[in-house]
Amino acid sequence: MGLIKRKPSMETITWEIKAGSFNVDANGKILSSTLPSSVPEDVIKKITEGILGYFYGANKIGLFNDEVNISFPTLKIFARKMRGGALIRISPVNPR
Amino acid sequence: MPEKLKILLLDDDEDLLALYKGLLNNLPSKPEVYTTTNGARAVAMLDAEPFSLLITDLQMPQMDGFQVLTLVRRRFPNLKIVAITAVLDEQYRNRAYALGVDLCWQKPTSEQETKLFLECIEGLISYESDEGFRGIQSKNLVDLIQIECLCRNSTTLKVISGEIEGKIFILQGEIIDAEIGDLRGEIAFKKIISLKKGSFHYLPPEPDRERKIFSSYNGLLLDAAQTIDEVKATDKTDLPDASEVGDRTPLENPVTAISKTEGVEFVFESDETATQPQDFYGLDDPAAFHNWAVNTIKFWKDFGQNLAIGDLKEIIGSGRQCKVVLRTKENKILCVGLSPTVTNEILPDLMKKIYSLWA
Repeated sequence: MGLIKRKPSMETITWEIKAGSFNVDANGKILSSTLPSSVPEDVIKKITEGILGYFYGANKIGLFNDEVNISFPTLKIFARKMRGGALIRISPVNPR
Repeated sequence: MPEKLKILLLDDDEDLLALYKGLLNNLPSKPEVYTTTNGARAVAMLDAEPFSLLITDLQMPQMDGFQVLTLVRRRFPNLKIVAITAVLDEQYRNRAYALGVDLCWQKPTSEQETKLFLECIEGLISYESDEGFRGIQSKNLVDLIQIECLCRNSTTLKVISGEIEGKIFILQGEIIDAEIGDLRGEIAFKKIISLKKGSFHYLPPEPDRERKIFSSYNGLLLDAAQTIDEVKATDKTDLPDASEVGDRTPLENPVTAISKTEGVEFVFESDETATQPQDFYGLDDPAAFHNWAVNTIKFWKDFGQNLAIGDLKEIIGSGRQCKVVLRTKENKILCVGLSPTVTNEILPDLMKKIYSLWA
């Protein structure tokens, strides 16, 4: 547990999920981060895109959510809306 | 209706008992009339064999009529009761009706009054209603609750229908909770209201009970009226089976069953490939919710697959107005909107129940 394998094209990237947080603005720009450098940048970008997309979409249909939890078997993502941007925390489900 | 109608007459005046016995024996239904001058003896007789009707005086030495009524109504909820008294004032009448008598009569003093009294008794013992709750004749449960709420009473209304028992907790005219089987709150209230017949008791109020119903009684009763209409429309069996309380009935689809779960404000089920929800409840614009849910689920499913972190389990969003839970199973999507009163502590158990209904 706690390992993420990524397969961009033919290459497999394996990285250890460690708990950490980061702040993004409304454009997805990272303002601050406590994530280890082992977390690939494009993973962070994808998470940011999904979270901001979630809040935007929910807002558009009148749900006005300001927190979201996304659960996978090995990874949990928690995000809180912050002035158009978001505070996002990722954590392994079974930390070693 | 029993083979032979039996009436028990309770009065401390033996002459009156003899007189009434003679009159009642001549009723068209030819009931068997038993008499006693003692409240405790009356209760013992009721215990010993079934009676159709108890006629009791209200003013008696030792155990008075009100004491008898309190005891009898609790122990024999289906027994019809007529209270009679020499002096009938409003306070007496209200107290007697509050204890669940079917009729409250001033002792007849003229031939005309006696005739009317006997006609009423005959009508009462011959009347066997298919619907309605015993205790206040011809009143349905909605009427009873409305009376309690309008009077700003505090009480616990225990409803018995077959083997099913439910309770509605009323505090100062507000419905604060209900329970039936393992159900609590509004869903339990609706379930109780949907019972078509039975009997009820008034139990002492429970002021310390945790409040689980926050809607006004008017709103609840309006919903209840709709529930009753639905029950009548489906023309199902008279009573829900005890085993189905808390579970999905065989006729219900998952969305309907989930929508009845306490705390659920809206729900829809979609297919990822569809353009509209397959089934929904509580949504003004289901298509917009469907599109948002499909896009959200698709994004995070792809994310999980691309990073090989496993299949998406669940997305839970929360805000001041509501919580929303998204779940996927094969190509199906379930989206449930929950009341903000659903706390994070009770959410896991609630979702387990909802998923079991969806399964």
